[in-house]
Amino acid sequence: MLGRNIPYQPTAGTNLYHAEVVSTKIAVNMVKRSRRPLLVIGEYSGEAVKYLEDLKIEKVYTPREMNLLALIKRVPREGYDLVMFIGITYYYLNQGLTYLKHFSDVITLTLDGKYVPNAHYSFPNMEENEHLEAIKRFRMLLDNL
Amino acid sequence: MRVGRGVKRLITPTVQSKNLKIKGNISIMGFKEEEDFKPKGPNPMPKVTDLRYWDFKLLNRYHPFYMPVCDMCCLCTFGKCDLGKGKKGACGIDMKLQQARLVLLACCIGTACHAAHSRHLIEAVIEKLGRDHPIHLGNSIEIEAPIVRTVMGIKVKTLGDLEKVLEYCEEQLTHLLSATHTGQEGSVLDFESKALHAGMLDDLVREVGDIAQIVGYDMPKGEVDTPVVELGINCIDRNKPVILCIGHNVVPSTYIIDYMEEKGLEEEIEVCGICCTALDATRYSKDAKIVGPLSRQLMFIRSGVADVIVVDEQCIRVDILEEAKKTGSVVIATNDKMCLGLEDLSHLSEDEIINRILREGAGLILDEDKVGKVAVELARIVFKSRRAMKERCLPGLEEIRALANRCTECGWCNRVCPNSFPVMESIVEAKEGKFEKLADLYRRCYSCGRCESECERKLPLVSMITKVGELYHTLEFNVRAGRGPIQDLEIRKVGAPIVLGDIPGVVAFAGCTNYPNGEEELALMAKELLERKYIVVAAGCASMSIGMWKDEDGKTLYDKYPGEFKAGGLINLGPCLSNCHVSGAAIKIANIFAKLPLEGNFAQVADYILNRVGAVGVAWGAMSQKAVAIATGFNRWGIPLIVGPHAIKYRRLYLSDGEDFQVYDRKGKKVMEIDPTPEHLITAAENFKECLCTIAKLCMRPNDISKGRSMKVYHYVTLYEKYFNCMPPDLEKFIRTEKDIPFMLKDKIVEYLKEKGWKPRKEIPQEPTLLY
Repeated sequence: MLGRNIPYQPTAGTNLYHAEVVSTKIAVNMVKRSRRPLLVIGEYSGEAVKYLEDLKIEKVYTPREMNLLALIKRVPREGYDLVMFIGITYYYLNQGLTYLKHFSDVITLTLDGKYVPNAHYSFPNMEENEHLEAIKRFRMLLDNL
Repeated sequence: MRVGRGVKRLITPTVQSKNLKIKGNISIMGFKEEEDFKPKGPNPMPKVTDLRYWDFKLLNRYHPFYMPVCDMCCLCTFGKCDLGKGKKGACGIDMKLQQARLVLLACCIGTACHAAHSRHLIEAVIEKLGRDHPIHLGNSIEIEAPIVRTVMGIKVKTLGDLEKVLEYCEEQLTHLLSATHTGQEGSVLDFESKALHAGMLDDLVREVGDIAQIVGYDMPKGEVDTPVVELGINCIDRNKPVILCIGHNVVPSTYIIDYMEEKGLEEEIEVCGICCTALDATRYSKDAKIVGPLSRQLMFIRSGVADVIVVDEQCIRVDILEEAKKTGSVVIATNDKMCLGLEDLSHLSEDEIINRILREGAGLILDEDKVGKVAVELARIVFKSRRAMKERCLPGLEEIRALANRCTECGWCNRVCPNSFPVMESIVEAKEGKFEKLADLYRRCYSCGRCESECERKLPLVSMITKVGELYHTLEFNVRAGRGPIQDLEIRKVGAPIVLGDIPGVVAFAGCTNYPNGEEELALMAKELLERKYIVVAAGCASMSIGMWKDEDGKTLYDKYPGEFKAGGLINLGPCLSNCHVSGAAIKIANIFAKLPLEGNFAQVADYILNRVGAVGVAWGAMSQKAVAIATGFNRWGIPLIVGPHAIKYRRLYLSDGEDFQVYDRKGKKVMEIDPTPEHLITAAENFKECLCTIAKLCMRPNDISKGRSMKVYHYVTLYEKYFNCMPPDLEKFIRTEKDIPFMLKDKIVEYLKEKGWKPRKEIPQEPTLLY
């Protein structure tokens, strides 16, 4: 895919502070080092969600269990230090994440196959099959910890 | 001062008496001039800070939640300043302050738009009818202007009175806009209070504008059975000269329609419109048609069906001249907000103007009197030369296939699409002569044209989508003509059921067409709510979008549901201006049902609405600055709102923590904790399912009686089960006592509550208020 670390929607960035692109290995290390990670799963994860559903990490399904923005508002208060997101409408997640970017110390990581500039860390833009392989590898590496 | 002949005869012998003393007011022609204009009530004509105490009450509960679009501020030449990671700009501003300032700026822009529009309307109708022309909205509406009464503390009786309201608003707007200057407000809460003030002014000027045009152009005055009018591209007869009016200001359209009627040309010419001008034209005349909301603007222009395009103001494609040139349509600009660099031809005669526009392709006519003849005669002339061309403006299917084969499949069209629709995939299929995906795209696309701007092969993507869409879809729908205000009589019937919760809620669909998934979703939301006996009202582009769905019998929702303000009623209020009638209805409930005095009594009325009136606004496709002003205006009245996912780009929501609220119970004379209703003042939903469930939740109010609350809980639970296959995860927050549990779902809910460790509340407030 062209422009791996250009925001999937090119105008999604906020000019100065953009997510660092990470590999699956770095993402796994981030999870390993966090004290209290949270995984937020949206409705549009597709096949990838199969590999994440039974992870032994706290999970919230949005919007079924909680509105994304209400969740983003609560996360700093509840003591999570790492929040991961997958399967949420791209521009909606990207915009909502600016709250955590500017007004909290919570680290955010997006696991979609699209680069989300307003997270702290993000997977790069990937084709669908590439992304699925990345999620499988992410899961495999986590299991092997 | 005019004095009737009969009165003169009466007064003369009296004034000839000696030692005559007259006390009190002399009422001539039924008007007590000075006394009626003296604002009444605790807070008439509030200044910027007069209602701050109310705003702070709201903001203390519903905290501003900011989502910055940019890390920087670039408003002055000290900058640009980096405000990220807790930094301050050169003037001391920080990120939250900057967002609050931008929200205020957006609200001011929206309010100014509506104020200028209303000013224009007032001037036009006063010129036509005179300042003393009375405001009379029919025998079913005594509270002619509930927002004016509540905010200004006056009753408006004539068109001239409306000017006083505009003067107040224009003065306040100047103060508000000045607060966005460098080095002004330094408090987030005060910026938000000013934004709420701008929203309230926006509501006020919209009421002024709509009353002016209802009275001035004899539009429906709250009639229940306004005519059903045609909507959709295929409703327009291409074999006639077509005049397309785009924008929001009905004045030029009225001249066009008047001229047509004067010359008996109604059958010969098609007059149609896009956006609110269309809605107002159909309130003025049954001969006008509606092409559609904003989402169909570029598609219809590209189709080349319009021979003459008349633009007025707001939400018009700013590249209209360039687009019209491609199809040979001529453009007439009619408003000082949109001059397009054209020479003002107003000083010429109509025939001279026609000749000039024929030569140059476009013209500006600021003297609207002349637009009627010019537009109509131009249409008749231009049509003759464009007749054959109309069929060639859009590419045929073979040409679409050939164009598609030039696509390099770079994928950037998908990426620049605001919704990331599968544009590329649709074009790839079109290479093989398969157009189904393009046809599906047509249903959801709102023709912003960003894909075309990005395409490295310069493919006319919008034209390709439009052509396929027109071939594959029957683009003929219905919408009810905008009726304007809700009648006092209707409020009397439904006020109690709404307040007590017997009617599950009033849902007002407003806003633009920046939908995440096409217009149909809005219609399906309305359908779901109508089937559940909510009252559904709509205005602006939303009211047209709701008409753009048909059931298997070919009926739109406007064909199926009555236009009465009652359970299961679907009301088209009218254009964007008519959103004021939503707040107006809530205010009337406070006055008619609860006997609250209105004049200058904003905070008390808003407090009542917040705690008792189960109304919620839905701006599913909110896009413009006007939309954020409308939303913020609703909020100050205590009416919560749900916006679509794109609308979080407005940068600010008002969200509570979702925990118990505090109120003062006037009856129990104590402060107490209550359930968090309404949970948020403005929140966003990601998709259709979430929006529907949130609507049900936000209709709940602290003052619901158990029977009413149980009905609202029933809808909340059944909607959640229908769309998410589970119970609402926060249901226990909204069940106050066992009496709130709907009988039909008792076992299920009781079991659920047991799992959650729910305990009933010891007491429920009888007269909750935030004003303590």
